[in-house]
Amino acid sequence: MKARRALAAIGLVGGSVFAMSAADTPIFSAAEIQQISALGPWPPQIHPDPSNRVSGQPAAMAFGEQLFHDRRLSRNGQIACDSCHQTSQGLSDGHPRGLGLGESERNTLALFNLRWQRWFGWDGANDNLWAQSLRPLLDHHEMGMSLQSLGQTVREKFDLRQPYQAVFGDISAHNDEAISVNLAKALAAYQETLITPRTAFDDFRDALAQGLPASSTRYPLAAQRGLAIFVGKGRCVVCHSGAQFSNGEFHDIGIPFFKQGGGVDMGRYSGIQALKQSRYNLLSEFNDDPLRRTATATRHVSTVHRNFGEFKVPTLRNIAHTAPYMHNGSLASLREVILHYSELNEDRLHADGERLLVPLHLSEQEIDDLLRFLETL
Amino acid sequence: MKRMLFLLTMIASLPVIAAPCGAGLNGKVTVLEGAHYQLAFSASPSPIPAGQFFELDIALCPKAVGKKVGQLSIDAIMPKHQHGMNYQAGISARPNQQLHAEGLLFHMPGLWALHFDVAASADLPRERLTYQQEIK
Repeated sequence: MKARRALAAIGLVGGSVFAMSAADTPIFSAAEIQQISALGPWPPQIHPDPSNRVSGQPAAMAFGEQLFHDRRLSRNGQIACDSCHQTSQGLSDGHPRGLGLGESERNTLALFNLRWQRWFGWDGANDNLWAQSLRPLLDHHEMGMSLQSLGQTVREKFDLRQPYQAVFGDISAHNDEAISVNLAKALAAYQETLITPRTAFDDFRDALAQGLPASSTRYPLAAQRGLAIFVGKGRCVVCHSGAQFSNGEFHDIGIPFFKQGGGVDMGRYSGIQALKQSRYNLLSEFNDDPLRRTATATRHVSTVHRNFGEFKVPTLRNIAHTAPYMHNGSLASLREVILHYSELNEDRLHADGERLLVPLHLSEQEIDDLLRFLETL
Repeated sequence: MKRMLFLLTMIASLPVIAAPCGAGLNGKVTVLEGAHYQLAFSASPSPIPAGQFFELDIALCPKAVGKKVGQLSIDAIMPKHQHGMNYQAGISARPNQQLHAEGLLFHMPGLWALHFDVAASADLPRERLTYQQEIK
């Protein structure tokens, strides 16, 4: 499975035999090309979210975008969604841990390509985008609103009430909770439109998938070598798979899960518990799909001991623009992330965890190549 | 008329041959052989993809006629990684003595072992039948 290095030429110089390695151009095996092909195509097909009756509706997207920038949806009137999800920061905030009304315990996740995700948040405590959009509005560390204050704000502000009624109908028929969930559904409809563009990697992937030679694109050689590590020696693709560069699930990768203020972040374990107790999961009355077609994961997930300390596998698309990294923002750069896997402290992995991670012991050249690859995503 | 009667008599006198296990399943059927059971299943979608939920239609057939069948449960592991699925499969009964499993998801590419565990019944001991597949 390892990429082979091509010998570009073998020649005679001054009567001695030499082999010119080549320049480091990886030649991908058929199996590797199959793995690389599975990292696309990009973008995937788009379908409306059946759990959100306004998904894909232009009026809802426009209202959601308006709400995304509206500071009146916070308790102190100074924080909007875009305070922590800034375009200049890859729709994240650049801080180790989120800063709203207070400091969060976790790093702020970027908000793109959400429409294809199964779980939301580092612990997957939500199974749908509208519930995940309601969470920060109500979290006292973030925007600090309540169902009552959200309902009251929309009823009282004409520039909110009018577009609300254009999307959801007569507001007088809705209680505070219904209004709040509808706001979250409009926010979700907007966030579904936030999709990362095609990249140089996607062109390279398409060429390989079509049987064209690697040289038919201008994909940098260093990135190609990094890709060879990604699908080969590094086995990164085992978890960072598919067009999202994430299997959408949760793993323990040896990052400490002690909180700043003391205590332990239980990660996925507490995420599943919160999901099961949520009034807004896909099994709830707020799911607009009577058939609950997207609720399979929610029906069948349950806690197991190894969920302690597991956190979501993040997408790697646009990853170069969303530092710092990991659930607690403890790694400042992508190079630090690569070094984490290169020098992995196996003692930090759960004893009953997966036998998947081993230190990669990458050379400086390999680290540079892997970094170059990640920067092209 | 005599010829027709002769044919009907011939057909009626043929030995009864039981339908093979999983005869009623649609799509590509895989049959597993155990000491006490045969188990046939078909997957949807097929082939089973990585990262997507899939369902199984299952026929569980005791090898000895008339024996009581134990309760079936399903789980899976990646032998190399020593971890299982992140979801608990649900099994329900279908007509024609078939079973239906849903909530199965292989969240990583690689080799998976799908375990079909049949609990002990009044007539038969428990048994595990395993199917391995490389998921891409």
